[in-house]
Amino acid sequence: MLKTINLHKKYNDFTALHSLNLEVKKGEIFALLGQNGAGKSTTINILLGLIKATSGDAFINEISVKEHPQKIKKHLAYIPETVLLYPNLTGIENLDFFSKIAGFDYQKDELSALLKRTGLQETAHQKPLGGYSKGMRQKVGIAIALAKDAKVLLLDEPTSGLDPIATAEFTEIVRQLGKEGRTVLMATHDIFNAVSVATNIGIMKQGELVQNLPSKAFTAQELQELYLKTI
Amino acid sequence: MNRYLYIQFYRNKAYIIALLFLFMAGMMAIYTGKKFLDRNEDIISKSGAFQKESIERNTKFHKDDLGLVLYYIKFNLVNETPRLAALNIGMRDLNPSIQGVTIRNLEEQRYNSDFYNPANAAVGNFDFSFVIVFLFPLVIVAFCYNLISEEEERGTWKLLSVQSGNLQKFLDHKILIRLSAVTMVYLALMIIASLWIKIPSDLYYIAFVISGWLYILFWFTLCRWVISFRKSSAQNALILLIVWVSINFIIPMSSNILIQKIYPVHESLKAVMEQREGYHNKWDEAKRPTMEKFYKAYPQYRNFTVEENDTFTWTWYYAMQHMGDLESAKSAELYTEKMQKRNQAATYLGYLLPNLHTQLTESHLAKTDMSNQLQYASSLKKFHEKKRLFFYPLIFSGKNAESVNWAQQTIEVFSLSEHLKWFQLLLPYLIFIALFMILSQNKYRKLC
Repeated sequence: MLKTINLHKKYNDFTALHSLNLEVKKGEIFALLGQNGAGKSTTINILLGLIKATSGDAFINEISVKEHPQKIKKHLAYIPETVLLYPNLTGIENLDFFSKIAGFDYQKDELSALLKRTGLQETAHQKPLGGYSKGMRQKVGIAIALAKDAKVLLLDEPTSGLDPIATAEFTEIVRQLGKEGRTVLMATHDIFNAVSVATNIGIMKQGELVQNLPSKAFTAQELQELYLKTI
Repeated sequence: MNRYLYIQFYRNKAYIIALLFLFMAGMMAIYTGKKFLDRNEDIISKSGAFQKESIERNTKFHKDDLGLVLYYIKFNLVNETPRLAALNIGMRDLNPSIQGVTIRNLEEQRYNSDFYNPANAAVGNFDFSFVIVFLFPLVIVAFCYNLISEEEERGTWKLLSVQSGNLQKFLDHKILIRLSAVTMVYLALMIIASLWIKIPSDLYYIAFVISGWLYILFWFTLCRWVISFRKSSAQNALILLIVWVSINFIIPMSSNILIQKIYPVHESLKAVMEQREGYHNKWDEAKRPTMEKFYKAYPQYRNFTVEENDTFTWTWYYAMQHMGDLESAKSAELYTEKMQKRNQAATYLGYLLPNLHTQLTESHLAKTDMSNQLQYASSLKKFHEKKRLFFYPLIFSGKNAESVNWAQQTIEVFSLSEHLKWFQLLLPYLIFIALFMILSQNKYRKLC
C-alpha cells in the first residue's frame, strides 16, 4: 500500500533523509517516532509530493510518487499537526469546500454525518471556524480526510496540542480507520499514543529508520526506554 | 468550489470596503467630469450671446469705422466637446474648448487665451480615467498580492495541494472572482456615467469601455505573474507597488524629461517674441516695406495702396498686424511640428506602458488629447484667415459697419471626426496580457 525504496533527501550539505526503506501494508497503522529534525515530516512531505526526493522513490498503491506526483494525491489524505482552514467559513462549509476541491460533491446530510463521525458536536457545524478550538479544527481535518475516502492516510503529529479527551477520541478514530482497511502513516512524539494505536512503530534518527518493530511487542514504558536509548 | 471562493471573498469586509471605495471614487470622478462638461457648455452657450452682444455694441458705437469695429470684435471657434470628455478631461482644462479671435495677428491671441489655467496643470484632474489608471490598479493589487501567499501563511496551502489535483484552476477561480468583482464596479460606473452624462453608446464609448477593461485585465495578469514566484505577501505587495509607482510616475516623468530634451520647444517663446517684434516695430518703420510684404502675401489687395506720407490707415494697421503672424510663421510651424513629435514619442512610449496607453487612448477617444488640440489650433488658424479674407476688402475699401451682414457672424464649431484604429488601440494591451499569461502559466504548471 505504502512503500519507500532508498528514499534520500539532501538539502545542500545536510542529509534530511538517508536511504529510507519502509513498507506499510493495508490496514496497518505505522507510527514514526523521532526527535525534531529526525526526518519524519520530510518523509511525509515527500509522500505527499510536496517536496522531491534527492534519490530513491516512494509508492502509494504501487504508483510512483516521483513519476506521478499528481496521480498519487487521489489515493492520499493528510492531517497536519495543526489543521488550519478558512476562519470565515463554517465547519460544514470548510468540509464541503475541501471535499469539492478533491472532486467529491456530498449532500449536506452526508457532510453532517462525516462531522458527527469525528465527534464534532452538531451545534458547531454551522459556526465559523474562527471560533473553533484546536481540537474541533482537528476533527474537521479528520472529516476532510474521511471525505476524500483515501486508502492511505498520512498524519503529521496529529495529536500535538490536543487535550487528553480529544487525543483519545482522535486515537479511536484512527484505530477505526485501520480496521476499515486503510493504511495509516503517523509521525508523532507521543509514545503512549503510538503504542495504543499503531500496529508497527519505527524510530527515526538523523534521517535514518533505526528501529522498525511491531507495537504489540512493547508496553509504553518499554518503548519509551527503547526510544530514549535509540536517540 | 467556486461558491465557497465567492463566499470567502464577499465575507471579507476589507474587500467590500475596497470595492465601495472604488465605486465612490468613480462616482466622484464622474461628478467632476459632469461639472466640467456643464461649465464648458455654459461657457460655450454664453459665448454665442457675448459675441452677438459685442457685435451689436461695437457696430452701434463705431458704425462708420469698420476697421475699429473689427479691432474689438472677437469671433469664436468652438472645439466640439464630446460627452465622453467628462470621463477624460485630458487637456481640455488647460486649453480652451472655445477661443475667440479678432482679425488682428493670430499668434499673439493664441497665447493670450483667457481660458488657459496653469493651476490645473499642476494638480491635474480627478476624472474617471484617473480613477481607472491610478486607483483601480491599487485595489487590484490589494486583492491579488496574497492570493497564494495568504494560503501559505494561513497554513491551508499544504492541505489544498494534497486535496486538489489542479491548484492552477483553484487560483484562477480566485483571480476570476476578483476580476468579476472589479469588472462589475467598473461596468456599473460606466453605465451610470453614460446615463447621467448622457454619453451616446457609440463606437467611441465602446472603445473607451474596452480600453479601461483591458487595462484592468492587464493588472490582473501582471499580479498573476508576480504572485506565481511564490514570494511572501509583503514581498509581493512591495513588488507590485514598485511596479505601480514606476509605471505611473517614475518612468513617465523621466521619459517626459527625456522627450523634452530630445524635442526642446524654444519656438514657443520665439514665436511670441517674433510676432511682437514683427508687429510693434512696424510702427517705427517705413510703411512701404511693410506694405510690400503684405502685398506679396495677398496680391489681390495691391490696389489698396498706402502712401509713406499717409497718416493712420486701417490697411497699413492690418498689414502691420499681419507682419506679426508672417514673421513668426516659421517658429509657429516648428512649434506645432515639435509638439506633434512629442505627442508621437509619448504614443510610442504608451505602447510599452499600458497606463500611458490607456490615458492616451482614452483622451484620444474623448477628443481631449494633444492631437485634438493641435488640429483645433490648425483649424483656428484657417478660421482666422477666413475671417481676415472676408473683412480685409471691406475695411480697406472704407465700408461702414452696416455693409456687413452680421447675422452670419455666429459661433463656428470645429468638429474632428476620425476612424477608430482598433488594432492600434487593442494590440498593446493584448501583447502585455498574453505575455504575462504565458509567463505565469509556466510558473503555475509547476505549482501543483
